[in-house]
Parts: sequence; C-alpha cells; structure tokens
Amino acid sequence: MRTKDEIGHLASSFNGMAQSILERQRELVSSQKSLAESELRYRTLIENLQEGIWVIDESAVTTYVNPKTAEMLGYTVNEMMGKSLFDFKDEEGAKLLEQRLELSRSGVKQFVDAEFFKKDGSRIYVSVSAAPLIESGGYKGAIAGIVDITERRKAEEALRESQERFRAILDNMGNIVYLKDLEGRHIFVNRLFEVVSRRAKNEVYGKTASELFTEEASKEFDENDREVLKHDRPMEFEESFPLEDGVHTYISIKFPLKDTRGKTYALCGVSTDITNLKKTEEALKKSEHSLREAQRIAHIGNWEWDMDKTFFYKSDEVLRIFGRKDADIESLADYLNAVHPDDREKVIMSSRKALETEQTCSVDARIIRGDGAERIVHMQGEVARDASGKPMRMAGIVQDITERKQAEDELKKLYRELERRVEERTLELKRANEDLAAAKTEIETFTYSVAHDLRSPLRLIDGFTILLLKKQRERLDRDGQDHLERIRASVKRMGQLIDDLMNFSFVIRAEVVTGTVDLSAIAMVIATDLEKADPEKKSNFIIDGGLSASGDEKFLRMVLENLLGNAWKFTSKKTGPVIEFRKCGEEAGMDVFCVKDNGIGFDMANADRIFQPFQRLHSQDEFPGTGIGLATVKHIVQRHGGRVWAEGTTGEGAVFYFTLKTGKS
Amino acid sequence: MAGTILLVEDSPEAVELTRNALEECSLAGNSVTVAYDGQDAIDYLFGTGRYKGRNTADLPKVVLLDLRLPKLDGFEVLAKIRSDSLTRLVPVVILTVSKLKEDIRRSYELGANSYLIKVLDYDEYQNTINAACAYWLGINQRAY
Repeated sequence: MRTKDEIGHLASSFNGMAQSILERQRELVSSQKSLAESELRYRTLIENLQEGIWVIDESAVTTYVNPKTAEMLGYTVNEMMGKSLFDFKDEEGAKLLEQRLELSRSGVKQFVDAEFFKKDGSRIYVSVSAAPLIESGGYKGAIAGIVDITERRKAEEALRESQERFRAILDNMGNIVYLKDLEGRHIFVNRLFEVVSRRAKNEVYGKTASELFTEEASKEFDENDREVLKHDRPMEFEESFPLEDGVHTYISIKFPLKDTRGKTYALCGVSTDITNLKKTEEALKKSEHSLREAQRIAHIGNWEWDMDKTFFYKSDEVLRIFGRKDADIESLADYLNAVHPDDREKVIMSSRKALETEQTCSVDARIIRGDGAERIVHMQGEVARDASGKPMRMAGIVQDITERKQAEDELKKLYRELERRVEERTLELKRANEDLAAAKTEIETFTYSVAHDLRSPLRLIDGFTILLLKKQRERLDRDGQDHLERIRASVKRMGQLIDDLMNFSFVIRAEVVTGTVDLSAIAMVIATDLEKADPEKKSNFIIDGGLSASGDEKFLRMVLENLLGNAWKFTSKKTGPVIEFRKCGEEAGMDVFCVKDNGIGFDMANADRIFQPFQRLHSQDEFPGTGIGLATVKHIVQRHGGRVWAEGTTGEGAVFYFTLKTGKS
Repeated sequence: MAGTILLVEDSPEAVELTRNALEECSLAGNSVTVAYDGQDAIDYLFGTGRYKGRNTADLPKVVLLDLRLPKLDGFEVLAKIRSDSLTRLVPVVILTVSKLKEDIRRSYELGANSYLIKVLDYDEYQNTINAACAYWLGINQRAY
C-alpha cells in the first residue's frame, strides 16, 4: 500500500528526476557540441596526417581513405572509395591479403610490409599497421595506418646488393681478407680465409687468432694488429703461417676501420701469399750470387750496352778485372778507354765488325788497370737487333787471361825448347845411328876377318897335320900319331866354335824378315839330314804336321836345327831314342812349341844356365859342343817376341819350349 | 889332254897344301902354276910383268882363284878375265874360305864358273880338290 508520503516521495523524486533530466539535457547539448568539435578536430588531423589511413568494411571494400593514402596510390579520395582492397593487388598479393584478412577477422592486429599497385600501374611498398573493427561482437572491417617505405626499401636493397657485391669481390680475391673487432675477434673473413684456414666462417666469427691458429702464428698476428691500432695507420708486415706443405710467407697490409665519427671500431687485414715469390726471389738471389761467384772465380765479367738509352751495365767482376770504380766505367767509351792504347784500335775494329756483320767479335787485348798495372783480357761481344735489323743492344764478356796467357807463353817456350831438344836429340840419334851402322859394318867386316883369319891358319894346321900323318907315319910312334889326332880334333872344335860364333853374331845383327814359316816342313828336312849324317843310329822322330809360326824363316830354321840337333846329340847313347816336335799349348796369344827327347836330360838346377853362351853341362868327350847353340836359340826367340825355357830330368830326357806368334795360314 | 892349272893364292902354306891336294891331279899330267897375288895372275894371263913375252895363247885349263888377295883381289882379277876377249872364256873356279852369300853371289855375277869352299877338314878339302880336277880338267868341255 502506497501512502501520502509515498506520493510526496514520488513527487519529490519526479521533481528531482525532471531536474536531473534537464541537467542531462544541458549536459547532452553541451557534450554534443563538444563531440562535433572533437570530430572536426580529428578529421582535420586525419586529413592532414603524413601517414595514410585506410578503412575497409567486412567485405574489404574501402569505406574511408585519407588524402595521404589517395596521394600515395595516385588516386583521388573519391576514386578510391568503394574499391575493394583486392583491386590494388596482383594475383600473388591477393593470396597474401587473403591470409591477412583471415587473421584480421580473428581479431589479430598486424604490422606488416605490403605492396600495392598504384593507379599508374607502378608498385608502392608500404608499412601497414592494421587493427580489426569489432562491434557488438562482430567483425565490421579494419582500419590501417600505412607509411610509404618504397625509398627505404630501395635503399635496403641497394645496400644488400652492395654488400653482396662486396663479398663476391672479396670472396674471389686472391688475397686473404679479414676484419677483426678491437678485441681481436673475427667479424668478417673472405672465402680464401676459409680455404687457407680450413674453417667455415661460422666457426671463425667471434673467435680470436689464438683460438684459431697455432700459438706462434697467432702471437705474430696479435702483435702486428696491436702495432696497427697503436699507430692508427695502415702498416705492412711479413707474416708466416704453417700450411700442410710447409710454412707459407704472407705480406699483410693491415689498417684500422673507422666509423663516421672517425673512431676506430675494427681492423682490416689483407694478406697475400708470397711464398713462391719469396722462393723465386731467393732462387734469383742465389743464382745472382752464383753468377757473381762464378765470374769472380773465372775472372769473367759481363757487360751490356743499351744503345737507345746509352745505358752501360757491367758486373762487379768487370770492375775487378779493370781495377776501377763503378763511376769510372759508365759508357762503352770508358770501357774502351781502359784498353791499352796499342790494342784499342784492334778492339774497336772488332766491335765495329760485330755491329756491321752480325758476327761475334772476339779479341784478346791488353788493358790498363786503375792502378796502372797491365793485364791481358779476352773480350767477346754480340749485337742484338730489332726486327728491322737495327742494332739495339750490345752484350759481351771480358775475361782476365793474363795467367793463362803467361802459362801459354811459358808452355810455348817450353814447347819450343822441347822441339829444339827433340831436334837436337834426333840429330844426335841420327848421328848415333850412322855411327852404329858404321860400327855394325865394321863389326861385320871385323867378324868376318876374324873368322876368316882364324879359320885359315886352322885349315893349315889341319892340312899339315894330315900331311905329317900321311907322309911321316913311319917316323911317328903311336903316341905321336895320337897327339896329331888330338891336334886335329882341337882344330875341328875350334872351327865349329868359329862357325857358331859367326852364326851368333849373325843372329844378333841381321834383320828379322817376318813371314809365315812352315815349321813342320823345316823340322822334317832337319830330321832327314840328321838321319843321313848318322845312318847307323836308330831314331824315331815324331813331328806334328801343319805347325807354322810368324817369323823369319832363316832364324827359325836355326832354332829347330839347334834344338833338334841337341836332341839328336843327347839321345845318341840311348837305345830307342824318341824325338818329338809338336805344339804344346798357347800362352799370351802365342803358340807354345816344344822339342822333347828321352835323352840324358839335365838337372833342373841348370835350367837357366844352359841358355847362356859357352855354358856346357857335358865334357867334349861325352858330347861335343860349343855352348853357343841354345844362346842362339834364346836370342832368336826373344827377337821374335817370344820366350824359351827348358824342363828336364837327369837320365830321362828334356823338353825345350819356345813361343812364337801364330802364323797366318 | 894335260894342261895348266893357274892357282892364285897368296899364302905359301896354303899353296903347299893345295899343291898336295892337287897331287893326284898333277900325277895325271897337269902342271900347276902359282900366282901369289892378283896382279901376278893378270901378268901371267896377259904376258906382262915378270911374264913378259909369255905366249898368251897358251891359256890355263882352269883358274883356281882365291878372293882375298894382295894388290888386286879375286873379284878384280875375275872382272879383268871376263872383260878381255883373250881370257873371257877361261873357266874360273873360286876357291876360298868365305861362306858369305854376298861373296858367292858377286862371284857368279862377275862370271865365275864355280864356287868352292876351302873347308877346314883337310880330308874333305882333298875330296873337293880331286872332284874339281876331275871335272874341270877331265870331263868338262872347254871353248878353246
């Protein structure tokens, strides 16, 4: 139940409410006024924004763009109104847009870069910050702020391209390139760095030299790096780095990198492998050294004259030979001036000839050294020409041949002296030969006379002894007759001795006329003669057929006469005597012949003695003989280049060997 | 048929020995004339010197000529004999001790008819002389 109070209460409430409504109304009016003011403010703001604003509805149809957006895309605001977002996309862009709208519908705010086609067909790159519009729990579209990033993007691309180009260049360089920060950590390396260090750049970045390389190498690198940073300027170092094939040498150029404010922030290094260069350089140095040494030792200097530049090069040895300083010889003229005045013309003529005829000039001349001493040198030069034949360069050598020349002169002198002596000796020898020939003739005459004069009285002794024996026989007793017989025997022996000596002297002096001698045939004749002379004696000659030797027949006949005669003699008291003549072997390219008998033999102690003249082993009563025969044999064999020896056993026989050159059959 | 043998020999002993050796030959009626040197032999043959007036037509049947002789040696005598028409057909037998090939060759070249060696053994010598006598004074036919 409602009371008056209730009514009163209600009335007062109503009054209050009315009051309140009035107030609200006033407030509303006031707020509507301020809203309109606010909207105007915002619109002005949006329309003058340097950022584009783009609003779409849930179907992606443009419901609002600010003038900036229109300007960016090259449209008017009105032209853009009502256009779908897809109208500004190509097929690819549309796909991406679809995904983004999907995200937007699910309430996701997005900050992305996007690409639109402008009215003129060109592209515009924009940065987009988009927010979905959700009302009463439903998606009503989206509002996005867009900023033109075309220029930024172009700049970024250009930078990227530039960086890539930069890396491509560095990667393809034949030098090792690296950047390190101020703590020595690698922040960039090129491909060659990777190849040489055998580490990928990812392993290298952020690491210091000591973490990457040997202690020795990294220490050297760090020290050099510190130097660069300390002096704050580009510096050059020779650095070593061990590789698989040994330690390589690098030339490293290192320099500080500075930022825009000029503050050093990194160190850059470019290292070049000069190992081969170094080796070549060393080889060159060595070869230059060798050349210098060779020149010094051989006393050979070389020079070169460049005719165009009138440049005159000369090696150190040239100066040493000439005993002059570098400045003394600066042209070919200086060089020629050092030549002895008397020889200068000769040298100049020779050089001129080389210039004119393409011949190598070669001349020996005297020079005057800086100290005035005179030396003898050998000079040789050649001219190099261009294609047209014009002389361009003249090169030559100079050799100090003073000692050689002196030695040559000495040698020549010695040679002349020798020649003179030889001549002298030849003359002496000739005279000696003539003397000898005269002496020989004299000896011959003398020998003959001796033989003749000795033999003649012997003949008379024998003759008169016989006459005595025949005519006075009755007046002689037995002893007397016996004595006379002894005289005759002595005469005979003496006669034999004279004959043998004549033979021996003949063997010594007569010329050996070499031919092929049929020894078998000669031996046969001798054997037959021996048998005829003593038909009583039974003998057995065994003579091999076909034996021949190279030699003088008359002498070889004497050899066989003596040896076979001896064998005959010394087998005379033997029953069943056998005498052999055969070839017994070969020795030193000669044939060994032997005469063997089974006679009385001899003691080997006398093997050498029997070849000496007048050496006899038996008495005349036993076996007559003169002791000349074997000496003759020995002499003949020796004159034929052979040797003779004997073997024997007393009572059993003897073998006589002699060697002779094989006869040509 | 007996005739004269001209023996040219300088040594009287040698002459005596040869005379003895020629005993048999002499017994056969031959006479021996001795010339003691080369010149003597020439004088005999050509009727000069001590033989002046000798009938040179009476030629010896043989000349036994030694080579080593005083005045003129055997070769010179031989050459003279062979160079004169009077004597060139006379047989000359060289009788010498020389066995030298050179002497033998030269003798024959100069026109010796025979060359005999006076060997040392007298018996052998005797045989040689006998044979020479038998041949040159016996069986050999002369031109005169």
